[in-house]
Amino acid sequence: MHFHPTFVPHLLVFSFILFLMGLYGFLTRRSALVNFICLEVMINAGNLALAAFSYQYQLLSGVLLIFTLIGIAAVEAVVGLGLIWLLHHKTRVNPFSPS
Amino acid sequence: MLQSPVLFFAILLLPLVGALVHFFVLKKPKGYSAFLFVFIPFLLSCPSWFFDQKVVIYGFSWLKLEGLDFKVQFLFDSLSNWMVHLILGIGSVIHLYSVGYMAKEEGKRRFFAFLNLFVFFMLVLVLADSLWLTFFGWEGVGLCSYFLIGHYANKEKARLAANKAFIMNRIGDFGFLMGLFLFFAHTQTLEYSLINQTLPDLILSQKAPLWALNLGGIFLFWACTGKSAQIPLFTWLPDAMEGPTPVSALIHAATMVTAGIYLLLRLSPVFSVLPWVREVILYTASFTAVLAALIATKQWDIKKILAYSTVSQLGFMFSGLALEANAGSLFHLSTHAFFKALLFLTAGAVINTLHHEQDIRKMSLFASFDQGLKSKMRVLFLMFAAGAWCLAGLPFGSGFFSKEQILNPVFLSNHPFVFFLLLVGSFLTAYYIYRLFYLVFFQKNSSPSKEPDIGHSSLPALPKTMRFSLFILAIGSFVVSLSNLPHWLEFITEPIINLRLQKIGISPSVLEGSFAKEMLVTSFALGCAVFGFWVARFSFWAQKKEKTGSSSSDHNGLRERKFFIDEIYDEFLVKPFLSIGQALKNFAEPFFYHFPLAIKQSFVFLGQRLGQSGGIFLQPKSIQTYGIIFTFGLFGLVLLFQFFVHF
Repeated sequence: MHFHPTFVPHLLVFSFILFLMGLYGFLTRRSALVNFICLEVMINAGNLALAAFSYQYQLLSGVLLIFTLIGIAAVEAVVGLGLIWLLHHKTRVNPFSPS
Repeated sequence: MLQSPVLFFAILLLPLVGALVHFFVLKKPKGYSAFLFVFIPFLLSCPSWFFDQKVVIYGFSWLKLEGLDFKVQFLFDSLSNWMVHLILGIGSVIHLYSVGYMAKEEGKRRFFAFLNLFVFFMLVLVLADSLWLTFFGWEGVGLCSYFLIGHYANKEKARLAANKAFIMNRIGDFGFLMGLFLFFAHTQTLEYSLINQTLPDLILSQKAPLWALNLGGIFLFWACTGKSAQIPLFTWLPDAMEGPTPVSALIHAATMVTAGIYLLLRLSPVFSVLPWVREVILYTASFTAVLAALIATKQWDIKKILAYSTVSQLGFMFSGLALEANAGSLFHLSTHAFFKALLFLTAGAVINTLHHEQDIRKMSLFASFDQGLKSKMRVLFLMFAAGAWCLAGLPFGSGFFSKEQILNPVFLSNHPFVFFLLLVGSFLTAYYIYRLFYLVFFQKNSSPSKEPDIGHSSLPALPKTMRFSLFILAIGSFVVSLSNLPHWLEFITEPIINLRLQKIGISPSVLEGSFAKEMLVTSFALGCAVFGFWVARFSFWAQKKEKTGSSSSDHNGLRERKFFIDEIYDEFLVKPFLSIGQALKNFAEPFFYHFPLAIKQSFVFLGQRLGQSGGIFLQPKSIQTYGIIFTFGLFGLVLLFQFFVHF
């Protein structure tokens, strides 16, 4: 597959925007669940940058790293959601909003 | 015709579009839209029926690694042609039926969306040109099956059944992946055409260790036992009857559960050189056929009887496959798809008419006092009679022809015990289906007229769509047998038969047999079916004279309790698993609970000390502030790093 020469820079800019969106959401929102979603967005922004560089240098390691990262993200989602649910269940309040 | 990729992708993708439309656009679908999204592809695919040729359609490249190219590529040959017609044909009839069946139910949007999505994934499964794409479809149908079994999500039993189905299929999928990896390790490819070419060569030239490929074959059969409900993993299928009846008919009788058969058919050149694996398949499948039929003879839930019957019939198909009766197996798959869908849909209509009564002992409460239910529901009675006739294998029903084509190779292949088991299976098949038939349609109302209004009132009429689709299926279950009467299926299964002839070991003449032998087998099978029919008939009328009615005495019989298989699994697999988890928790608690706790407490202590002097900045009490501090800290560290690197 061959793309336009500006394909990789565009992807990187897109990844950067995605990361900033995630960061902004994480820093401003007060709901634990939304914070969690924003974390995932940031992870995927990182994945996208990896994929872009992997394409740029025609290397496999980036893509393979993405598979690992997706696996880790899936595990993290399980643990994180469990934690949030547990905290919510124990206290009946949103665990991340200030008391 | 199908060489044009546009048409091909229209057929493949229209059900997916339908699913998306139902998810996101239509708010209150009546169901006709869902029907169209399956029926139009069916019409589009019809011309290909007459152009029987192998077409490979390239989609795109999913993943390119060094020297490897995982292509999304589809194979349209005689086998997938046959399967696509079966899926789309029966699928559209059942979609039409669901319009009437689901008319008063809630969650129709969800229901039709997942039904369409199921058809899409099933098409992917049978059209895929590589094992991994088949695996994609395999997982997709499992997912849709999960959602549709749990359709009545406010019923706890439905939720549990959905979980059970999904988890047991997961156990099977592990086998699929392992088999896939093992085959890949030896062939370096996942495309069917290449696997089917290279693996037999590898085995014959002894370049690959036989044990590894045998293990791969066993793993793939393990996957089939999950999806197609064979002995170790079959208990999910009867529980899956908690879903709506069209789902039971489409997914758990006609199409999805035959995915295992399809996989073995597709890889038949590989399995033909793995005789040891085929032996395992043969014995597992024939035992399943008898065990499930035995359980079915003592069940009282109309849908569960049909579910066990499906398990048993799948056992027949696998037995045929194990002896390389590929055409016979595919033929039985097709006839079974028709008559079992018919039986399920009729059972669903009966259940719906009788206000969701599923227990065949209580159905007679709706009958009148001098005649059974047959006088109240003529249409359903006739339809069920047609389905039962075909299933039992009585003359000129489709099951008669197709079961014989499985029994014949078994008879000719020197497996007397398996032949005996399958004959017992066909006897029991006739027995349980006619036991069900007589109890539902002939039992008179014997209750001491507590509710005369139920006994005398006429039952609600059947919606037109349901009646029409039942007619189509009833005609289909007789007509489909034409496809393989003497040697008519040959043109459809040509590549399979050719492959079978190419293979080594059993020469085709051994499998053909003489006319006399064929007649012998036919008379055996027919004798068993008629015997089963008469036993059911006799025991029904005999029991009627006694008028006992109370059958609670044998409520704890071995067959009523399904041979305690669920309990055994619970005791020997689930509970040890849970206790291992508990033990691990006890073991890991000091490391993963107390140790982090100590760290946390040290920080709390530190924070309290610092807080006394540091004040608000060190303890902002909001995670967002921590986040900001963390972000800027990280940013600063990166800058610092850059600074040290560059200067």
